[in-house]
Amino acid sequence: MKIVHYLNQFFAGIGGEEKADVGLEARAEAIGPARLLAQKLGGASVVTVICGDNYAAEHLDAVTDELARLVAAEQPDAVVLGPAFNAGRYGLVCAALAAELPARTGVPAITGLYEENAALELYRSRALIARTGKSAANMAAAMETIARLVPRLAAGECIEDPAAAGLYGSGGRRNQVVERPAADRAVDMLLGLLAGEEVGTELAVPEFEPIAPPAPVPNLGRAKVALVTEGGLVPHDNPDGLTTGWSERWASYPVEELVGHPERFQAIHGGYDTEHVNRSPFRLVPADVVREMVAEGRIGELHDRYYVTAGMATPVRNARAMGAQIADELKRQGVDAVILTAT
Amino acid sequence: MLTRTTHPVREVAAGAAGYRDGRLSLDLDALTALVTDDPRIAAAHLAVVQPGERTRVLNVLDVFDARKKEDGPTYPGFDGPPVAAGSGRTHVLDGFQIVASGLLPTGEGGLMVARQAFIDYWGEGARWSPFAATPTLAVDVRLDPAIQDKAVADDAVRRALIRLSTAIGALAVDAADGADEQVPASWERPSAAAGGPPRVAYVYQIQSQGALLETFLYGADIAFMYPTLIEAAELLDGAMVSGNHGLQTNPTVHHTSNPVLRRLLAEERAGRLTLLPVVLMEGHHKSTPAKQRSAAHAVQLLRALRAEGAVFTQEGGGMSIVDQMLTIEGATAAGIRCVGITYEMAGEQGADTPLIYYSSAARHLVSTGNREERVTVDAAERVVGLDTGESTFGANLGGPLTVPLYALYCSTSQVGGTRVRAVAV
Amino acid sequence: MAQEIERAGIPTAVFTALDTIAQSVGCYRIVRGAGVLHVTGNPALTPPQERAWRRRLIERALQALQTPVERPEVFAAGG
Repeated sequence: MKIVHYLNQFFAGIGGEEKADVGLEARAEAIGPARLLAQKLGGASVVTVICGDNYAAEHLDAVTDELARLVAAEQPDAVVLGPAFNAGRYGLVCAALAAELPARTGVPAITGLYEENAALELYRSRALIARTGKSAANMAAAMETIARLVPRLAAGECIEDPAAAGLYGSGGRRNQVVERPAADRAVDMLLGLLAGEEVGTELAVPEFEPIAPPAPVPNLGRAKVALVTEGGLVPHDNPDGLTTGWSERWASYPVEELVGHPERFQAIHGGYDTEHVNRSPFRLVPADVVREMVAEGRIGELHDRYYVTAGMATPVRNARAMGAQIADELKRQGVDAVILTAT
Repeated sequence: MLTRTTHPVREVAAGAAGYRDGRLSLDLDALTALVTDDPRIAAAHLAVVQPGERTRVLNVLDVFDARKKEDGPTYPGFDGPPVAAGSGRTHVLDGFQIVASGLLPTGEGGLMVARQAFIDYWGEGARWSPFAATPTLAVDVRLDPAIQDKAVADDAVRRALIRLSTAIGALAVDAADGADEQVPASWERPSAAAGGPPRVAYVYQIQSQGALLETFLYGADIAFMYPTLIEAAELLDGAMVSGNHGLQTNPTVHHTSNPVLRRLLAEERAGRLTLLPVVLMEGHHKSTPAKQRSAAHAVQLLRALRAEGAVFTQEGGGMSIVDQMLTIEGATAAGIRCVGITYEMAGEQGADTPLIYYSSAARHLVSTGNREERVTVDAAERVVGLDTGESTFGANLGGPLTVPLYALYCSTSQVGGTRVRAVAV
Repeated sequence: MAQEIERAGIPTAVFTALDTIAQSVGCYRIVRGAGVLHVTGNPALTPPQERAWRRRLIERALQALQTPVERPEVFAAGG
């Protein structure tokens, strides 16, 4: 069996965050987790592709192209991405590649994510994603699942029961007509419950696993605050082409520009009447007041860019993915606290 | 004690009025005159529609069965004073329905506009419909165009349907072939014995949001109603009539023959549960405190009834889901086992989050389908109702159409009167 | 979106007019904004009044950011 295996800088053993900008590199050997997978496959010939998380996230199109070319040249039986467990950038890149490569190359691809990874909701309908635990501590089990799936995919099998195989289903809902009306099924379900049976559900409520509340800012006078908005406030020419709703992209713009020339900004959100905000953008992004407070020493620093999406009708999975990317960026910029305006 | 006497209808045809041996014969001229016997109604076109015909009934406003109470009003508050329903004998024709088609004044537009869903009696459209398999008297109502008041127009249609329902129901009153079903009142049920069948309630959420999005209880709209108790027998005996033309609605027949209630009663007769009085609540509240107040009171009623389990239904759009979830949450916290019936809004591809609001307490839900999944239907040979060329669903409503599931009237019935559901893929 | 930022450990003060939904999603520090059309604005006031009013709103957000919370809390801006 021949595998092309994609890893980030960390899993390839090159380095940590400081190596996140390395470009794409291919090696004719199994490295790190790729060796584990090859073992579980009973031996396999592997080309390991390594790429830094930042580089991949910022040059996704180019990376996809290059990887597609490589796969076309190498003709592996399957492409394995990661697994990425709960990693933000790595997860999004692995899932995006797992979605795109089969269409481009005809070679099946598979990745692995933890169920809370924002990339899951965004890509589960388009990519084969194995269920993994939260961190690399779960690597052996994750590779076990992937190793069982790879030969089936290589043989061209269409996996009928994703859950049984350890995959997330596409997560979609499909209508069907059944024998018994819903009223009957509901009464049956209730009687089963009252008899102490395990009755399940026809529609699973998502587990909003509560995240730990972030600790308060210890010293506001030394803190770096950033402004984020879902209200679609952009420069007049909308240079990043943000859409008025059903957002998939986010952008950031200089606060200096907004404070100095608010008339150059407008709200492009399709879900509310933007007249008031257009007359005074600080009604959506309160940069004037926050700037003032920085000057007074009340707040340590205002991050020099504000972040924006248009929140109308944004599918939850897109909001989560964008939120995860923005959160990544904020962390890298050393932001201590955020003021977020929603509509 | 209500005795509900059902008469099976095996065949429906136009002809001299009568019901005999399962054959219902309708004098369309006389029935038309009955409909137009109201100056608000300019004209009406009545037609018998059989399942399997390539007929499409447009702009469906409501569906009634045909019924007649032996003594007393059949729809108290409308065809007589608002006396309590639920006792005596009521005759119901089983296997027949009256479907109203009509265009109501739209006023200022927006939310309060009667929707334009249709029923196909053949093919793909019929597959998804709860009403396509029942022989139908289709009533195309043309209102006096001078009427601009939505409530006035709506009232005219409703009363016409009530006249039809009772006139046709009356044909079966002397028939010999009725099957009796007893629906006891709460005070006629034996007191709960320890170890007896579980005590089950039905939390019945209905909507009242103004003209065209209303429900009538004994002839009055239910706006600002606190959750209350009502007997199953009353509901199955014409106490509640629909005035709801929203995207998600429960037509009158789903109130007067509520599928959840009928099933609960069947299980009660089999000794598997004890049915409690129904908790009737207005839903679709638009503010958080109103939702909380309503849910809290409904839960108090359930506790006062010592309910052990409850089924929860909805009426209306996403807001009604929030009300249902909040009530389930409160009831679950009080130790009551809860099952909810809900439709889904998972987008055209089925890939979006199905519900706008969840409670983690709602662990047992029954789905009535993703209303946004597309359905493709063929052209009809006959169309009942007026196609203005400007409908939500396309310019030629009689032709081939690709429409969201909600264009097929009540396909995602919120009281569970549908065989449609969505599953995970 | 706010939840993802909080997940990264960054305290976030969320201005919204629809606090039930924010609470249900699990945002921890919610500041009730001034309405969907101008969440940190008040067009009924003169510009200097509005700016002073916005300042009080942001003060409330800063207070939220400095307050330890265990469950979603709504910080209502007074006045």
